Amino acid sequence: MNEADTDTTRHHPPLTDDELAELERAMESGEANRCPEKASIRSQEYSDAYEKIDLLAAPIRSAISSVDLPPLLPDYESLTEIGRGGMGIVYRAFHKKTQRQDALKVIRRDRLAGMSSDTVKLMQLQFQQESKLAGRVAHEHIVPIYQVGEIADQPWFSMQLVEGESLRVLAQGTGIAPERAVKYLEAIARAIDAVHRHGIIHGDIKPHNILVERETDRPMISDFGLADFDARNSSDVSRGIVGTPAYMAPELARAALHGQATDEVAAVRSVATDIYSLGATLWSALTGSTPCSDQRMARQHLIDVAEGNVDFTRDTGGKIPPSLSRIILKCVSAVPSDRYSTAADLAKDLASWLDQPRWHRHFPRLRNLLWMVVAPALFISGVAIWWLMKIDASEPWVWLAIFSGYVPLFGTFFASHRLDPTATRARRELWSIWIGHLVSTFFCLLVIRILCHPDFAKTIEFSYPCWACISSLAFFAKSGNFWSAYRWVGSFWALAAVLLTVTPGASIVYGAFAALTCVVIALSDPSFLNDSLNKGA
Amino acid sequence: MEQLKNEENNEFEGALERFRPVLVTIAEAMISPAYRGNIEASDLVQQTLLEAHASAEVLDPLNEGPFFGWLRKALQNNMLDAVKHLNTQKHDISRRLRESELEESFARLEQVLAGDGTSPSQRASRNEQIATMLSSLQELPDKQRMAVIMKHLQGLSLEEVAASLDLSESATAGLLHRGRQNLIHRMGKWDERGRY
Repeated sequence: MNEADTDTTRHHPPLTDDELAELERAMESGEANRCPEKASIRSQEYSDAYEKIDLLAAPIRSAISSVDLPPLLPDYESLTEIGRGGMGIVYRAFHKKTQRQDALKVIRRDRLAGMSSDTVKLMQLQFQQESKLAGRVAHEHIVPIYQVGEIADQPWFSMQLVEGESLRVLAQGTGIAPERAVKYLEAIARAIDAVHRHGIIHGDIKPHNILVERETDRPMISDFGLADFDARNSSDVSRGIVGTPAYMAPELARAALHGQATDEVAAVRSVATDIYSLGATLWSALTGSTPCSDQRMARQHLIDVAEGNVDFTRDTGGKIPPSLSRIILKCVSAVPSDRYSTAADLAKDLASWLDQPRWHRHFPRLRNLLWMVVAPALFISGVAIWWLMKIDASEPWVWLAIFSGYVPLFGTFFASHRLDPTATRARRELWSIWIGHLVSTFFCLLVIRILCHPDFAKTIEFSYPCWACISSLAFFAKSGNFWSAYRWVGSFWALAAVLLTVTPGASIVYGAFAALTCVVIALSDPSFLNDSLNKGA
Repeated sequence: MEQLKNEENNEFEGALERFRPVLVTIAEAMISPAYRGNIEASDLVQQTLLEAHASAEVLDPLNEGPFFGWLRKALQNNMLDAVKHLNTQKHDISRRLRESELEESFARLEQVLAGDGTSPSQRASRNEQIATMLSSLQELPDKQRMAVIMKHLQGLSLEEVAASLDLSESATAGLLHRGRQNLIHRMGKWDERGRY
């Protein structure tokens, strides 16, 4: 304080405490300078001192901000803080009328501190609008909003208190099992799709915002009201206002980085940016890490994200099955139009991933049996048929040799059979395809036998190409719900059918092809590969 | 030789003491109400300074940037230890969550003080002013200091500060006013003394 100021103190009567309180409130709301007619030298001096201290304190305040007293709401009592996000604080609170524990969310005052009063107004308005919008979408996987209000310029809303942990806490460290993560994300994607159909963009999907109810294992998405603000404030990353932009789509990061006007940044938010966040969230749930793991350099992360330097193929523990990795990479594609066009499409892909057979779980020994038992057995049966024909063995023996090839196949299904309720569909499909293969082969052979009567050698010669055609059909049928590359196996068998018309010793060639197919499947069907992947983990 | 060592020691001592009030204010501002009464800011800083003593050989007080950084890091660790210790005593979810919050706060503090694109000289003078304010705060009477910390460093409203101090709003406004005048006065003195 310089001497001139001390001088003025003598000439003007000191302000009373009540006047001081009024000035203090005026300074808080940023209105002090708007009514110059009221300003006296004393109050000018007062506001100068206020501003000087506040300006110096602002950076420290935005950095620490560890203290926020719960708001005083008439209907609620005993508020305890349970969480804190970029713009809001969540309290557990007891609602007196309904005698129920609710979650109460209020906007963080310390975050509003350094901003102009217009920005604050805008944010308060948005906070209320968004919470109302979120409240409008009723969905079993969206945390329902009960009440929206405002107290002392501080907007708040109450919602269902989800007793459980966030996905971030659940996945922290090693990540969670792919089946569980996909189950959660599929439900959340459906919820987000419902939100999108109401014309609302969530904008802040991340593992922190997905709560999993402990008793029901039901995932629920929350945090709608503040979504907008996080994106908005990312231009303030250098001021430490926003945390890690790890789940932000690159186009959003670019907008934020270039310091575009707030509504321009908000305009970049779209269905595609939400899809990106869903993909990043799934990746994070599987690996247990954050796309950008170092919390300290938010701005650098924003640059990394904007430039597409986030590597979602990174999978240190080998926890992401390749089929899931493809889904994630489609979500986080740098080009928005390459991503899923709706969250429902993503949900559908995740659901079919869940439905997909995983032999390592349903039939744990199938892979080994396939190449060690079935493949040699098929080849031997081919050789046996060739030999039986050569020595002119009686007809029933040849028929027996032909169908003996099915014995190890079905035997393998039986042997590796394990009771697993989730595998019913896959098992049923597998059985019906191969029993169909057996039945049609039998009748095909029978028909050819009748047509070629009495030449049995010709029957066998004609039957191999037909048999190959039936196998081709079987693999095409499998490509629908199983490994999509089965259609190439099907095509191979179609070509093999043509080849078998001109090859001498068709039964040996057929046996060799069948054995080769078994080995190829055992080595490259991803549902078998998952097996070795999990063992490695 | 002996004398040289003594001089070095004194210099180190002086540097540490200069940082004490700054660190105490930071600690006071960072300890959330949930811990009030359980964790004492001055104890944490005392412990931090003792640790600095123990590592006197590797620290260079003349190089203030890294030195202060080291102190802040040590303070962060001590504070986290204190919080963790409390958490093992009481299994309280609201507290467990605050641990990560504390870490983030320190990270942001580092960012703020490391600068944000302003020129090095601007940054230095701003940081000097901030440090002067933080350290002058320790010279204020307890109530004034608490009121100013709550209002300006923690960002509470007049109503909330009053509720927290259990005073009327007008009394709190008076307290804040006197606290700020006092603070500015003392900051002027700091500048005269030429420190920071």
